[in-house]
Amino acid sequence: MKHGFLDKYSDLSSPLHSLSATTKVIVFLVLIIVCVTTAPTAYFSFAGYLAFLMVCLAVSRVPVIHVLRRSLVVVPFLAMAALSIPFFSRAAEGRNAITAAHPGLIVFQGIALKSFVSVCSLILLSAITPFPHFLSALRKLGTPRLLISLMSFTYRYLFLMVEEFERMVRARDARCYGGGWLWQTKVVGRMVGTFFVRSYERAERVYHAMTSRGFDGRVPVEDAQPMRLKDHLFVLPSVGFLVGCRIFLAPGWLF
Amino acid sequence: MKKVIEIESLHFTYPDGTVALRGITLDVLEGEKVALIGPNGAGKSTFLLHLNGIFRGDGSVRIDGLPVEKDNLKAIRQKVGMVFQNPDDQLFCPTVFDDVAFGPRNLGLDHDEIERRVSESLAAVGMEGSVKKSPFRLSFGERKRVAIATVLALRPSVLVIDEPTANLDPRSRRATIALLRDLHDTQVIATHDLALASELCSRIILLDSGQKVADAPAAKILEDNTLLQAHGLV
Ligand SMILES: Nc1ncnc2c1ncn2[C@@H]1O[C@H](COP(=O)(O)OP(=O)(O)OP(=O)(O)O)[C@@H](O)[C@H]1O
Ligand SMILES: [Mg+2]
Repeated sequence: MKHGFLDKYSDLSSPLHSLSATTKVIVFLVLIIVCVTTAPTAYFSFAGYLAFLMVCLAVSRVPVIHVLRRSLVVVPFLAMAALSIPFFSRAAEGRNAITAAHPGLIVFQGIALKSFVSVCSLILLSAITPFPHFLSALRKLGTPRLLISLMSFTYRYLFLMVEEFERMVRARDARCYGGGWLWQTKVVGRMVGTFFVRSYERAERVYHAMTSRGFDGRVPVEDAQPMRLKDHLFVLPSVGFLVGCRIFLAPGWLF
Repeated sequence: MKKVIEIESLHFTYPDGTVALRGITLDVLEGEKVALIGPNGAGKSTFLLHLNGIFRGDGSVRIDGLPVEKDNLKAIRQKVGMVFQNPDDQLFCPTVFDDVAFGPRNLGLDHDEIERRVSESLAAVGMEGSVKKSPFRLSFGERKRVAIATVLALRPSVLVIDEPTANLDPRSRRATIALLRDLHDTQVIATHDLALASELCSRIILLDSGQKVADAPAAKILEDNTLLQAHGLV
């Protein structure tokens, strides 16, 4: 298995890793919610969130570089957001009386900060929680079964599908793939079609294997680990700190 | 002896018009290990899928005397443990534990019983150490063993296995054969591996073009070179 896993580093051992997945999901969910509802100019609040993330990161012993590298996924989205800056009219300026900056820039800076903090939270969460535990925690917190099943199948088959596609690409290139762009487009189109049919057939075979073992439409998930004393000792101060940053360090309630 | 599987003139045609089974009649007795051999496209896999009602052709299929019909499917699927050729189709849960527990959970067993069955089945295939792993972190041979464990957990009265040794290296192949020999249930094994058939099975059924061509004690079929050659097996 050569691909990096979705939940790489989740089998390290650290105080954070040993907490119940439910705990971690709650705390990071709170972090994301308070972060996206914070006004873009509330720098002290964002400093608080980042400090919280950095402490968690240090405690978890997940390499910083891992989080930074994966956080690059937000870059294309930020580039899109940056394109929209000039289209914000100065008319909206009244709402941002605190600074004299271009309103488009303020919006952009808000998007950048919020997406960076949120993405880092998710990356850290996935690095300290094995995916199956993450799913049972979501289940315990009331996520619909159908969504859980979807995620669980995705986790199980994603790498298989990536590998299958790589095999197809290799088989294509091994036969001196080249030619004009029209031909290349056609080939890629056919590959996608084949890939779809193969995945569809695999789905059918998997379904047969499931019904053979008495499947009746509900995918059973492992019970979530219960929350113990140390979990509460982590949840309460963390949530308190984050909500405190949100309320006391940011001006106003609105975005 | 008791008949575990009774099949009478079974016909099956795929939706696209391919005729895959043309009137198959056979019985399997309790405790028998039967090899189902035949060239590619003979209809072996199609036939196996009829044994637990995933496909329903014309003709009659009975398991332990119970006809394979809509109302009996749950009971039938508990009696027939079906191991598919590709373990990646069979293992779809995030952890090995969940996968082996999948069948027992569907049977509605309680927590302790589920745990007992999981550890018992994994022990039977020598994979106790992998309970918490994800199936995709196991080697192909290991996944194959876990796939067998997932059906053992249902305590079936007959094990149905499609190509147990395909894609295995010689050592894993030996290990799988030894494993199947030690599991003393009734078994129906579709295979191209004649050595496996001779080592494991007392009886061989030869299929070709959807028909039963021969059905005899293993030794008798394996020494009939003309027959094997005529159906592309040697
Ligand atoms: N989904 C399908 N749709 C149409 N025809 C099919 C389908 N699956 C199999 N067939 C056809 O049915 C016939 C029997 O196929 P089957 O897979 O049962 O053979 P097999 O004996 O298992 O072969 P192998 O040794 O290659 O596994 C073949 O002619 C095959 O082309
Ligand atoms: Mg087959």
